[in-house]
Amino acid sequence: MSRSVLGRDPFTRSPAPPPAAEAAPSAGTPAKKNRARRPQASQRKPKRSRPAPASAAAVQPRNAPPDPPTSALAQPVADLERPPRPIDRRELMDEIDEDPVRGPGSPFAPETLIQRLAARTLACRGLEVDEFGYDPVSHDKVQPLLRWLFDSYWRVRIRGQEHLPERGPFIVVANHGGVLPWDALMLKLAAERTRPDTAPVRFLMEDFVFHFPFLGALLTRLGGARAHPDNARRLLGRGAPLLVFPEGDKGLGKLYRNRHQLQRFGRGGFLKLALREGVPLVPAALVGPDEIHPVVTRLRWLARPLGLPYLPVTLTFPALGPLGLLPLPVRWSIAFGEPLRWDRDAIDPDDAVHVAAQAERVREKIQQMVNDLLDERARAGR
Amino acid sequence: MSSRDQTGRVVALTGAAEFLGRELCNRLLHDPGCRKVLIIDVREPALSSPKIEYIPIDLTLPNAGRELEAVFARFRVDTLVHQAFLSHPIHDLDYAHELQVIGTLHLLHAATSNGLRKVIMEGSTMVYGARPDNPNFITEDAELRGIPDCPQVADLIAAEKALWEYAARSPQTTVTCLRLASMLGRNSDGFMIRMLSHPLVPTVLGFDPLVQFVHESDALEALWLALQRDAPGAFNIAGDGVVPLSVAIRCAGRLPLPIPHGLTDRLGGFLWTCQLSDTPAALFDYLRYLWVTDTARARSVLGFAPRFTSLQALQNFAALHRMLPQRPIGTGERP
Repeated sequence: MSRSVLGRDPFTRSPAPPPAAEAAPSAGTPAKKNRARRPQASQRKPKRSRPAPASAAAVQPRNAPPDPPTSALAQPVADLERPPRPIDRRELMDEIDEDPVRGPGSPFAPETLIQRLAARTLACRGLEVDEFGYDPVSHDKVQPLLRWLFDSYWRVRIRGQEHLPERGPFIVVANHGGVLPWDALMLKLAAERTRPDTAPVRFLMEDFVFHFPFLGALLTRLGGARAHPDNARRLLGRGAPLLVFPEGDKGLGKLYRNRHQLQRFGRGGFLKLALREGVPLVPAALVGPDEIHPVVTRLRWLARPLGLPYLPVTLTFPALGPLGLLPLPVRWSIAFGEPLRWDRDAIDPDDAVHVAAQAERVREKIQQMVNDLLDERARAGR
Repeated sequence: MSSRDQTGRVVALTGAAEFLGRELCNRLLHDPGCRKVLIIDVREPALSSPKIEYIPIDLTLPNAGRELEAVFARFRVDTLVHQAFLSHPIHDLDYAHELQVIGTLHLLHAATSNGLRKVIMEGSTMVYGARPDNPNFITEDAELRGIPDCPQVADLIAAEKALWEYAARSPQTTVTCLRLASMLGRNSDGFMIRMLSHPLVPTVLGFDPLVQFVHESDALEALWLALQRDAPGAFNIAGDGVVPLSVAIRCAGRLPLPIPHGLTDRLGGFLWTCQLSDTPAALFDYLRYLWVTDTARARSVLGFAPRFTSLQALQNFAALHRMLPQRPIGTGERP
């Protein structure tokens, strides 16, 4: 039987054979061991041309019966040494190139090709994500694009930076607009630039964005999370500044003629959250997102089969197809207002009437800030 | 019975032919606090010891309840560890239902009339269901919603509901249910393992949920803790951290085969009906939505401290898999 192959298992219950560590590169193979293996692999290289006996030996366990639990009485299997150190991509590639058991094998075997391709496609993202799926590697990869959009394309001006607390946790409440949630990414960038020392800024996404194919997966990697009170509480508990858009999809897809008019603010969940967690609430106003995709009308009948709340029709979409989804280069401005704090005893978070009234006041304040930004823009002659 | 035999507990095990049951049995043999291990199964155990008593009872037979009752009384069983669940959905839905739901009922009825001290059942985090409105971390108090049109998951939920009804009936018994996340390891089998065993893993186009794994040795440790400590209630058992499905697939040396979500039902259903696929179409929801669980309760109450994070469990599995390129031998099939 293929004991020799199976015996290299790092979790084998019989006394571990010496090459066990080599056979499990993830079980803490130091980098120098990798280097030590390399000459060995180059010696094997000539074998690649002919059908390698190493691969013939590797075929054998394919038909082997399951490993009988012969050694089960020896030691409980959980008596392992320490868990393995995470491996990085380069090691992963080495490992595929120099498989310790099967040898180099044919580099063109479909299995090898798939493994290589898999390792290469991992290159554009990090292996380790945080518990909400935030992936710092992907995040850093898209930063140049976002910075270019911020500085050169939308030429974002920031007002009231001084109002942002020095560090998290705090909640930024903002108006929402622009069909696609560009405003979340720009507001995140604005907050991170203003307060570079704080934890990565996170944002909450409405369900329709979160479950939108590709968009949800991408924004999750960039720091988004599904808008759920539990998620918000956990993120604030980690000290992260949190962006919320209480208007949700009503704000995101509002018509061009309703631009700069804040929609209803959900049911005040953001306020309950701030009250319960005792974190300050920073109102933020954005002018610009409403104009990047001027929505002429919304089609509901076509949206339902696509699983969307509505299908926006803009001047360019869907007339120009996917090209029509390119946003217009309007000038943006973002203003942060003075942080709002409430006395914990003054408002009962469960008092729906009171909470709704306060949420409405926050909405009015943000509307006022939007109007001020518009006035400023009009005075500047644009 | 003579009094000198009375010290130590008598543990009845079901599903002892699987990895967890086998290793648990092995530990119990070395445990001086355990007097006897009853193995209730249709397959003969691989271990033999004077401590072990093999009792061949088929839980799917109608008279299983009566036989179990007699056995429990004869050996004065005080602890039941119930793990006779399929590790993977099978095509024979009737058999799966009889084994998992009716089998559990038989065991629990026998337990009721014998007044056990402790009952531990192995569950799955799949019972919460992969739903679009799940929070990122599901706690134990969440409703067991499963997924629509999936009798395989419905069976698991029914078995667990039967357990909680039993717990309400017998307040003197410590009833524990360990809801295990997708278990990875060389000895295990399951939905995720089978998914990750294909060179091309079907996924849902544009969806990349976070998934969670538990290494089989950590699952065993949790089971052992549940046996040693009195911790009633349900516990989510999973490794720390999460892995995006796309990363999991690539770490395992596989590539995703994205299928538009409108087609998963039809295509997956077709392949399942033709027995070309191991995965019922309804389970594609688990590749589309979040079903990550919160393990805080297991940590604080049970003292569970997984040694492997989800990613480490996966990397381990991947390393083993590259060494053993064949599919794991299915152990979830009907014996």
